Amino acid sequence: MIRLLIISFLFVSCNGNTMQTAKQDAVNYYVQAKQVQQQDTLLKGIQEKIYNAFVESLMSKDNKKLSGLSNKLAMLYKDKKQNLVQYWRAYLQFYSSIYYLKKGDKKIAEKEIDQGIDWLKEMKHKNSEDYALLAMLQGFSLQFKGMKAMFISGDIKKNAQTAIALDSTNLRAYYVYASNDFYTPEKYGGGKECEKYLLKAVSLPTQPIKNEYLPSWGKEESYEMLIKYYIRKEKWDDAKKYYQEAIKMFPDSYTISQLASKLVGK
Amino acid sequence: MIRTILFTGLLLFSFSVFSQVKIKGVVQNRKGEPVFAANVYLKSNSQNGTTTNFDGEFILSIKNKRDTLVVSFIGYKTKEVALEKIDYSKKIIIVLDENTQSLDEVLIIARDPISEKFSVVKMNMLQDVYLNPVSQGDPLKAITILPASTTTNETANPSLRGSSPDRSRVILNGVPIYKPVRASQLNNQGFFSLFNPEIIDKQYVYASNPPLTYGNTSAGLVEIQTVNKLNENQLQLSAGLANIGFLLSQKIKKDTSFVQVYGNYQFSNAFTGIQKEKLPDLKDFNTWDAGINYHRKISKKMEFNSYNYLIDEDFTGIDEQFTYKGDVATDKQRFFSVNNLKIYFVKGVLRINSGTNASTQHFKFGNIYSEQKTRQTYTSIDYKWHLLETTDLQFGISHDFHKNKFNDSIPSYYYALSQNSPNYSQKTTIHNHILELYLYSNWDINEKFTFSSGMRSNIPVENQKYYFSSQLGLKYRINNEQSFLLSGGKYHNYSIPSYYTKRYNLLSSYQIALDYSFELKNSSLKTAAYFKNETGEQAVNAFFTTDKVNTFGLEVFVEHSFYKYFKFSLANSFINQKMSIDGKNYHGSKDFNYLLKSTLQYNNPKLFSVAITYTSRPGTFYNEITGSVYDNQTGFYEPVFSEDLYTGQFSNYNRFDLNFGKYIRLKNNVLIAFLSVNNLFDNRNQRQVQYNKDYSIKHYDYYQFRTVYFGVIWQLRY
Repeated sequence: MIRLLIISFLFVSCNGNTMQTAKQDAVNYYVQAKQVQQQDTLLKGIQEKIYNAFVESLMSKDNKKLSGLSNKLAMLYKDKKQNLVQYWRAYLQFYSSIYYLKKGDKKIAEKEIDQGIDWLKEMKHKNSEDYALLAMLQGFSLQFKGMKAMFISGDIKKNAQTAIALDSTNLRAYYVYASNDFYTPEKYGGGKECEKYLLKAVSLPTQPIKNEYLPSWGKEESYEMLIKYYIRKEKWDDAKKYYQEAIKMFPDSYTISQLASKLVGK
Repeated sequence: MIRTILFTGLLLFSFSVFSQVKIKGVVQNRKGEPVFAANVYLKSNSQNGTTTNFDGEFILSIKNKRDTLVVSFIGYKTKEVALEKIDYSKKIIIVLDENTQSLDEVLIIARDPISEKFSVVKMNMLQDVYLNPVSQGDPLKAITILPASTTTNETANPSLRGSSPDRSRVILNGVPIYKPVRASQLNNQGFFSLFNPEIIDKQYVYASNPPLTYGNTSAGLVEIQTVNKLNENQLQLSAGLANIGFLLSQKIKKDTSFVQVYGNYQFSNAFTGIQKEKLPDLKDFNTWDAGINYHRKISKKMEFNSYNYLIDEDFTGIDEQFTYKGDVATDKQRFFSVNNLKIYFVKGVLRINSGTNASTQHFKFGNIYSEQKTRQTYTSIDYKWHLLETTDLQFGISHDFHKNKFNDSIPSYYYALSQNSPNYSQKTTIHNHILELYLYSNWDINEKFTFSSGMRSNIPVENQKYYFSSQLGLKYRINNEQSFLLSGGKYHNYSIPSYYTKRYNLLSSYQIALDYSFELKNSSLKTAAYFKNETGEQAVNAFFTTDKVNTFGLEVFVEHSFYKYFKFSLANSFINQKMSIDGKNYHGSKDFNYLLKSTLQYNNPKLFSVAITYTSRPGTFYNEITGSVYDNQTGFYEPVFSEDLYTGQFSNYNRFDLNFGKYIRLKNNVLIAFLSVNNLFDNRNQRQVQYNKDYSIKHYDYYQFRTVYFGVIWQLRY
């Protein structure tokens, strides 16, 4: 999982894509949003804000941007106690963990991801998105866990299943389920279900209704993993088919375009 | 003409301006709480929409009043409101109902016991049973590593916090399983339980203050839940020095039904053959057992589970009681069935449980012959009600019926046990109804405090005595790492009749316990202090009964993981236990200054796992025999006991166990090889005093000597 996530999130142009699609749809939203007297606009486009803070932190080799945003979210949570705020705090922890991992500080990276996991675990009345994020964070944390990894793996599957059960149209739920299966070695029973779940994920919209407060990640990642899966299985026709579909949807995607070289001449 | 055009244009313009209407509203849930970030949009064009702010408020401009307003959010049912019906002069309130799909979440909540927060330990099968260095794969034996476990006779029958196993209960899917252990000893390795870990999902241990959602326990409780979802099909074959077995877990319909079938045959030849000198009291054993667990999700709101188990055991060995040494033979056939129907509602779950148990056991030693037939049926109906966000209630009724038939030959003189010594026959049939009502509540006062209370009352049947059990519990969570649990109450149960005590004695206890838990990522500390006052006539051994036992205990448990694959744990208990016989106080059977259990584990899934466990405690107390009188009539000496009871003490008990396991996985195949060496250093741990013919010389019978056991398990997952 780590490889994909680092590649995906470090070099991604997917955000460029989501930004573009978001902008196309956002016109009406921004017009409408002005009509709403928001007390706090921090959460608007928060997914993008977190990503930007992460990239800036990484470029400047200083986590000021990320920690600044983290503090703002913490203040907001203190005031509002909304699950959604906690969701984004946990999401930010994920990037913070990658930041420290890239810096070579595994200990803090583990601490950061564990903090996100704890917040989500403690959250009451979790919805499908919360379970999906929890499963993703747990999947990422496996690399730090040594012998405990085998116990967490069952939890990840269960949380991803719950996310699907709570909302069968949530593509992120299918993506994290597939991701857990994809990165489980075949000799430990992995790789059997990821195709089915990824096909389902790519068939679903990022959000049923565009909403800039809510998560929209997962679609591009699902395409990328699906293509990688077909490459791994040497199912070249399928790999090409979904590559075409993906590049059409995410023309600026660095991670997807990188896969082209593996399909040339196949 | 120009005027007409201008007028028409003005009219159209003014209509257009007039038709730009704003809707102001607020979106709430059923509790009146604002829903933040809800989508509010028009059905004809989902792009024409907005989202609610932190107060659930929104403003939306519309042009066409014939459209429909749609409000949606994750976890709620989408709501549609016809714009024609809206009063635009007022702020509209839109109430969202929770999505019925979140019923799945209710299912998840409902599956956990209401008293879950008040269990001392929640055990996961993989982590806490399979990798438990003392469990040997047995879910009940896994408990013995806990400081609260005061089992001292190397069996799987749980003794918790100094109480007799007869006072604690093991519950399987809501139904009590009495005497949950095998009748025959497996080559002095100790009794094993009747449960196959592959069918178990979770196991909760209530070391004291058992939740009054269950009755007939005055000490502790172990609650076992079977698997409710099968992740993959599996075929398992196992072969060991004394066992061959299989297990098949098979989904029947995708994610709605599954069945688990297993069977084992245990035999002694190979096991005794390689270590005969270590098993001096064993001649032969043969055991067959088979189980079937069937689970069916009848509908989204209804589940059925049926677990059925059959065992046939034969054991022959050598025993020595008083001055007679001779063959002992037991055989037992037992069947039990546990059936559950669960019906889920949006706010709760209704559970109907039924259990049947039937067994026939024969025992023969010298002039003692016993045949015991047991029949038991159990029925209960519970409803767990998620009353408020912070409050759950559970109430129900249970009926537990027992019938015991004894057909015994009893020695006329307790010390004359040879086959030719005089005896007499006795037939006894007894039965007992336990009909009880209960109410249990759990209240999350805030994030830090949880309060629970329970009450349980019997409905007297056939001149029974009325009793009322009650309990209170408070959990204080200081932060993510630390918590306190304070609980206390009064409890009742009936004793289980035996060859020596053919009665259902009503037992009771007052208990108070304070548990503290501190958990960090790689370390944990658990401590507890408790006091129990147990009353009711209870057999101490074949000769004495006690009606009062006072126990004060202190426990500490530390665990630390280090260097990625290592784990060290240390558990110790101080137990001050005094029992009263005829008004005088004596050492209790669990009166220990220390009860130490320590384990060092190395568990690297890529290499192997190895664990060494050390157990140590002072010896237990026994009645000393100071002399004897020859009895002409029987030809045996009659022992003369010391006037002061329980003054003799066995020497300290010390034991090291070593377990080794190697896990190999290749695609869908798993091979597990294991080796255990019990009592590694062959310590002579005294179990029982034995005497020569006139009781002038004493010697000892010992617990398990060093024995070796190994085997392999092959699993195919598909």
